[in-house]
Amino acid sequence: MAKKKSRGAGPRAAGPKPVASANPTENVRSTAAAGSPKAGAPTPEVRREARAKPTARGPSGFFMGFEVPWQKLLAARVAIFLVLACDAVLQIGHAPRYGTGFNVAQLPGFDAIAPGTVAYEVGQLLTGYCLALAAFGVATRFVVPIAALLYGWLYFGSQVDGYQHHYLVFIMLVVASFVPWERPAGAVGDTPVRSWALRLFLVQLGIVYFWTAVAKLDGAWLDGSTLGRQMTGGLRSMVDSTIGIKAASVSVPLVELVLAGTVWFKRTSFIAAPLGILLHCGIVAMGLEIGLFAYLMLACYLLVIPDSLYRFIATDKPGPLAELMAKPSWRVAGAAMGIGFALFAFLRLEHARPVGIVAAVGYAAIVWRTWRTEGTPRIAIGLAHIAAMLLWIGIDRLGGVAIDYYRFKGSMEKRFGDKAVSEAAYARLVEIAPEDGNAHYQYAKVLLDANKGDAALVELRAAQRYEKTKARSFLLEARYLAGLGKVAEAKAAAIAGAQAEPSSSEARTLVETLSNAQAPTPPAPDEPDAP
Amino acid sequence: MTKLRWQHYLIAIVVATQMLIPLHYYLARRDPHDERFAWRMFSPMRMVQCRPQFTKADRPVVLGVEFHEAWVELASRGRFAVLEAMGARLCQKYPNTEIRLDLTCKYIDGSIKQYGGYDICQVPAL
Repeated sequence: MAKKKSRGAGPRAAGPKPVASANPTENVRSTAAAGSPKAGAPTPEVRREARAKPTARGPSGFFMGFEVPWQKLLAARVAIFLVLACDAVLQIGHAPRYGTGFNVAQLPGFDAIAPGTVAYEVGQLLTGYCLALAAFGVATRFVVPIAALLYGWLYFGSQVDGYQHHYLVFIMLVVASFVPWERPAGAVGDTPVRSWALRLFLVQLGIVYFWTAVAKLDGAWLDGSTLGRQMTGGLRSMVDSTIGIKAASVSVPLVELVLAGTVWFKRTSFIAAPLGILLHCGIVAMGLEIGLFAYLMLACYLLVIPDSLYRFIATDKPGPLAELMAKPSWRVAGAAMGIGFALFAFLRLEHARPVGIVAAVGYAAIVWRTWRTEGTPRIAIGLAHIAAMLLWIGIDRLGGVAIDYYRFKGSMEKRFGDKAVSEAAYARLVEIAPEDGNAHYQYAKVLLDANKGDAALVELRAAQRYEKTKARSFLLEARYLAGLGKVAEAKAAAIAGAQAEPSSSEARTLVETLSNAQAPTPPAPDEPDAP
Repeated sequence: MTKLRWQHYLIAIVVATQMLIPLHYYLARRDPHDERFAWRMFSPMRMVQCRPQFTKADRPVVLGVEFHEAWVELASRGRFAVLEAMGARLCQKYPNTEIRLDLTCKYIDGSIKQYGGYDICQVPAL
């Protein structure tokens, strides 16, 4: 345990006054409360100063006296919340896993409130929106706890897609709800910001490192066999040609134990930062399917990097971007609302528009509250709303989220749910991904099940255009036509299939069968929708 | 002496629970494959490969037909809670039928363990 030390009595006592953690105030603005509704009322700066004073002189100590330079907090805020916001939107592709009618919750009692497909999509959209606002430092006292609640509900509601890193993210968000993420009045780069929750955040990381090291004190880890199976590709070659997989395996728990003891302590941050960044870069290089978690851990290391580095790059006045963000503007606030609605045209996720309306209401509430408490809303609030909407659109387009969503929803509903819903999902899929041959093929199968043969043939032809080396859409067409008694056309389709995929024994068999004018074999049973 | 505030209680709760909850895995958890809440990322146990085999009146049940593949994947990690819930679901779907569960797990050290081997409708826990 670190010795109790009064932070205010140190050499930095003459420097900027620390700002308290219990007062997550709004970002400083360069002008006074223009447009304040209450004439004669104290200005927002005065109110903030007044709120800050008692805790600025408040308790010191290991937790309560923990301070970081404002620039460090800002960097961590932007990186951590942006990564989490992106991850929330990326998760939406998995939403159909939640609507299969079967569920096992993480904890007893949560089955009753477990999310279905729609609730999961809506929950992740709102989580992404809240976290994008948090990245901009907007209403963090509200949006971070809301994100934590939503995340907790989605995580604890089901084991289907909930892994240990999701549990860690939930705890991080709970602790982050108590961090003063917004720029304190008058803060510049090296202004110390006091936060017990930040220390707790780092202690939590230390605890995770400790237990994850304990889990590796096992013969099957230390002999290299576990890591050897998880590490492949270029990284594996590099390890094999240098220290070897066994030495690497022994070093991992050692590094984690060192991090467990150093990551939460400022004096040892010069050890923890390089070690931890190296460890998590290694995990990124392993390419494990853990979403953006490895990047999130790297973002967390912005809180571990020594303060001296931030002080070295800190300036004694807010930068131009910070000044711009802090400027009050009703025009930007109004324009952001309009742009937000205009961006609806680019939303592809099933319930993004209704959720977008909820987000717009939330944005309006934040603007209203800001006007009531501080005056004209600052530009950052409007930009945050636009950025959140762009994040929904951008992550969907870059990550193919809507495409995964509709594909898996179509497949899931076909097998476990409502075939009409499945058909609608595939119809939407081919609309947003018109060059996806698999989408056309799966849609055709659903249409054939629904006895919509003509429409199915249109989709099969589309599938044949985009899957030039696969026989399956030709074979499905051949079987359908043979079922109608159109043997010659069926044979032509089967031959085309065999030409498209010469290695397909199924195609050759079907050609022979049709050549002998026998009844074709029935299609294979439904398989999960795979590309 | 510093007066205790709500923050101190919250800090104590978070630290204590985070140090103690993982102990449950090592001391009391009946399912070794269930590493939730124990911070056992990348552990050797994570590499276990299990083969759950349900039979309905001595005929194999195709899990991929009954359950989404995401759940089948969790079942192949040997998670008892998931397998028991699957068994309960099958018992409900096919009443008055013997639903037998045989779980065979192969661990990274090469050892093999068997679980179940009985009518899960009669004994619903592994």
